[in-house]
Amino acid sequence: MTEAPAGIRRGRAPALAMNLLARLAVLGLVALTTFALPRLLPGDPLQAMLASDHAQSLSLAELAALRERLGLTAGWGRQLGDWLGDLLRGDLGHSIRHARPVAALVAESLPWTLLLILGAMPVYLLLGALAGIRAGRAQGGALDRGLTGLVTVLASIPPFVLAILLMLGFAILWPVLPAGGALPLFPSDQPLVRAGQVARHAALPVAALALHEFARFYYLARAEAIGLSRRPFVLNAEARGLAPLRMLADYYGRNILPAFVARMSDSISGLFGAALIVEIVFSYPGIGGLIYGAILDRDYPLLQGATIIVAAGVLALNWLIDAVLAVLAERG
Amino acid sequence: MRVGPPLLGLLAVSLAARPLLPAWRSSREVLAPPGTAHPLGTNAIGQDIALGLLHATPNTLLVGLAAAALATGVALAAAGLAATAPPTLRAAILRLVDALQVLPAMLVLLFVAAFAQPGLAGLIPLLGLTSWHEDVRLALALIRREAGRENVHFARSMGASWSHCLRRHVLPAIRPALAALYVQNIRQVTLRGAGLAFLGLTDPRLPSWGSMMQEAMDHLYTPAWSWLLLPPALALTLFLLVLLALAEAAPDKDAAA
Amino acid sequence: MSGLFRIALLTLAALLSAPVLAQEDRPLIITDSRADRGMLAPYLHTRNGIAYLYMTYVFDSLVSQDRQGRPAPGLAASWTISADGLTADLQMDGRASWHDGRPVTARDAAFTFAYMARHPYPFVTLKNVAGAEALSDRHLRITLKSRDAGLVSGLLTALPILPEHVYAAEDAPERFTAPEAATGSGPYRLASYDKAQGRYMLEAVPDHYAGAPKFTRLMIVTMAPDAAIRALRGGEVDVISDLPVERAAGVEAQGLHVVRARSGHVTKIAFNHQGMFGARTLRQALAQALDRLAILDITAPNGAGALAETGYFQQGSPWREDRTDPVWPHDPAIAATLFEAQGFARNGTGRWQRDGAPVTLRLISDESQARVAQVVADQLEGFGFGVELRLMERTALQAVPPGGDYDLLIASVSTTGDPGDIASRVTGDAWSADRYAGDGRIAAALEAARQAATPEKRLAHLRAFQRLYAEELPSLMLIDPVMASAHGGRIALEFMPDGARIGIPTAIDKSAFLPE
Repeated sequence: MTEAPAGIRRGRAPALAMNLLARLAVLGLVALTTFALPRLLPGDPLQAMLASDHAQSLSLAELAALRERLGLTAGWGRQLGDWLGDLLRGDLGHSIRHARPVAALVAESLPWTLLLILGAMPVYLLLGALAGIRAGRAQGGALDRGLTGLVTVLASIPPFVLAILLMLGFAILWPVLPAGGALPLFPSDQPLVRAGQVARHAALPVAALALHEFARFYYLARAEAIGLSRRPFVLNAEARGLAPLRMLADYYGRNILPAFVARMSDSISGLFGAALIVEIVFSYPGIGGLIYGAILDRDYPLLQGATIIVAAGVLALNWLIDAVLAVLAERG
Repeated sequence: MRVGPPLLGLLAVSLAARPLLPAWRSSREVLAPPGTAHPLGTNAIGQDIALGLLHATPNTLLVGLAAAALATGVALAAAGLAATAPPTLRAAILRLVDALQVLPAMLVLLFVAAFAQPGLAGLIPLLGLTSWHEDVRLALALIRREAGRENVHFARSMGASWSHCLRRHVLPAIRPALAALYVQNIRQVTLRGAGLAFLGLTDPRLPSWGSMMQEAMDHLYTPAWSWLLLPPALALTLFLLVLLALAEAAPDKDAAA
Repeated sequence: MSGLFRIALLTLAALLSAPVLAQEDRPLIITDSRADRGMLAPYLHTRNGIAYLYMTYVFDSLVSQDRQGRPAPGLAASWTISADGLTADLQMDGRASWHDGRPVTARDAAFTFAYMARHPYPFVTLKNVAGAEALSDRHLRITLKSRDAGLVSGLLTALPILPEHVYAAEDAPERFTAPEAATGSGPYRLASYDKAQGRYMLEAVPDHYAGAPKFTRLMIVTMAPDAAIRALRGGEVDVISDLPVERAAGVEAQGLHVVRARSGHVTKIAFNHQGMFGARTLRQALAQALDRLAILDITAPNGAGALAETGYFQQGSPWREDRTDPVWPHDPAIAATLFEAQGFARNGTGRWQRDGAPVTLRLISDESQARVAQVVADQLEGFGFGVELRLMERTALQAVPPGGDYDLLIASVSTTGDPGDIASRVTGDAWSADRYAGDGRIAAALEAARQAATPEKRLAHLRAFQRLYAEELPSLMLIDPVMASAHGGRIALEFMPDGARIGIPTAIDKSAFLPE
């Protein structure tokens, strides 16, 4: 799993360019899929719009006018062409349910999701590495057995159960942290206080996400550490009595890095899935909930726009990580 | 690799026991705490939790075993094809795998599940077909290693076809590794299936541990969460831990390598 | 160690938690458990009743409602309707003005009719309006295509009037999201709207023609019920608009005020009239095979709902005749006899068969009615039918056509508001309609009610409809859920008997914020 994608080692630049092209092709595929899938499914935005109990029975002429306004009368080809054209001009379209530009909606919710992911990432990467290395260096010891057992149980609990348990523990039974949302009822105007409020609200979702990813990197770090601790240069350094911190950073950390980066590249898309569940449990206003709502409301423009942004983001990150990986591989 | 028999045994027992169980009916005893009549309490429409756990067991097991088998099988087929195909086709397969890897699988699951509300028959292919790509590179590496061995070269030089070689020489050699992969897939698929059920995206008439846990979400502020959430969560966690224990007990040095 | 940790955390929490504003300069804060209802303008709010209600805080209609829900002067101070019922003359209230200071005239009203004909608005249909013209600044004349007994309490109450000087140049109102889009003539102006947090701040219009609103500022915030209860107890918020009924007793026990009312938004079983349940006898048989009381007890225990009336109108509706509708009590023996008379037979194991084949009923619904659907399925299975229950995703359920792949459909339907729209709810094709034709008597009664010349005649026809409905069972009404609101005493709240404006079950209609 940790091997670099084929071809990346010879001539870095052309390979990376090829990679980029392939990813653009994938993006095109995603665009087509998000365009076609919702239209293949039963129901359309007009139906979702008129679903309310209080909606009046409109006349056929009124219905036709609404359909026209929603841009649903044109054939698929026209609709797709219009959308792609707009997309190339940087226009993501206009949400039907929210009556706002898709770009604005995405810009409002994406930062919250990124906050969760970027907040969780250092936590699980660092903790995973530290705990994994310590356990791996003392393989079979009491610490290793205890830690590994604990992590194994942790990895066997569904992520949403972990999230609920965290919420129960720290927001309901012992209410020290907010149970949901991203900001308090009256957000402060002072940036510093406001940052504190945001942090308080993000604490539990971030913890849930970090716990979910922690096991994966713990196992990886442990396995790598076990291998490393038998290598001569490490044994040598150990015998020389190197400072523990240097040992950790220069000998283990440095050598585990490529494996970590490669694994990150694999796990990015999964991370968005986990973030979605966490957002739902903590009613956090992120992009997962936005997309989920768009599916239910058949809000084609929002669904298409938000999905393509997420996919582009994941692809770009993934490409970036592969590039880093290639550099690391070349450095040896 | 003795993972299969105990799992299949468990599945068979739970399936065989199901007709003997009383039907899982609603009753006026709504949200009753655990007691003598209902050892694990009842849910919001008065169904017995303990009985629900038993009814849900075969469904959860069946989905896990079958979807994981499907994922492993497809991954193996794709890897076998990639190993024996000309370079262009191989590159195409690997690119496809990369692409699927990058696509948030959750998004695809959301899409399909939101509309189809899959039951048993739908859930298995849905989960299987959204998980296989994660194993292709590993399976390909295994196949290539085995295919590079002398016995295969010898067989090829004697005019044996690739499919013959794969079947007779490669497959038996990588079986232990595949078994480990299979167990890992069961865990993956079970967790994902529970996630879908938690989002309310599976057939509600199909009792599963995941959908039982979903009910707890409405009752987090009342004591009912404890008997709604904990029993199915413990059952699921226990099942996954047992799987791990089984896999570790199995002597498969190949997989560790 | 853990004690120290706890103290540190608590200190941190105290430092970081928001300060509670002083009582006097604090707005009246209302919580809503669902996020974001969209911008409060007719084409921008989300398509549901509560969002419409919030919009009416900002936009007034020609006809308003008093606190009991009766028609009251709105932007039109008075109105007369011609003898043939085809012409309505309205005198506009000269004191009314838009939030930007310009006066509201009959021209704005006429413009709104024309504009909404071009840009349909789902909560109003203008299909019966021939035209609307401003004969002067104060005099509006509306002409209809046919007589409509519900003109005043229906259309004129529902239609929000738009400012011509703001909307005339807008050809795509659903994309007109500038703050001016919320320029209305209602008692409150929209001061700020935070979409991500689902939060509205409204400021009173002190010189509003109906009198100065009681609260200078109104704030609507999104809050989950449990957080809202805690906040109400702590005095941080004033009103919980949608309190889950099952929590009401607990909230009352904490010394807070709770108001409750039957919602009139009934959970019903709709039949596929193009299938076996096209036969009235079978609908009546099914009604008696089911134990509606048990369904109520299981899915809405402890007063969370009431047994629904079978004659369409629910308790509390001013349109309902106070008589006992047939209740179709649970009686498996009678039900079995009725099924047998229609050629059904039970086999050895008690399963119903028709023409030698076991009968399986296809029951569809969506997640929101999952509990009721499961209990109904259980009861039908207990009675001897095979049941294939499908809980579909909301919009997919709405896409199931009349006569589609189902026998029974469980849905929630509004029975409140002006009866002008009942015909479409009973005979229409929409997913939540009964999709019923029958022998035409029900449609005839409703049409007669629509064309009735006097309110008394209208009521008489509606009563005939009520009796027919309970006999014919276009749908079987199951449960009338109870709704609740809680408040801390800063405001007196009461649910409107037949729902607010377009029949929205709520205790926070804008009349609650206006002087009597």
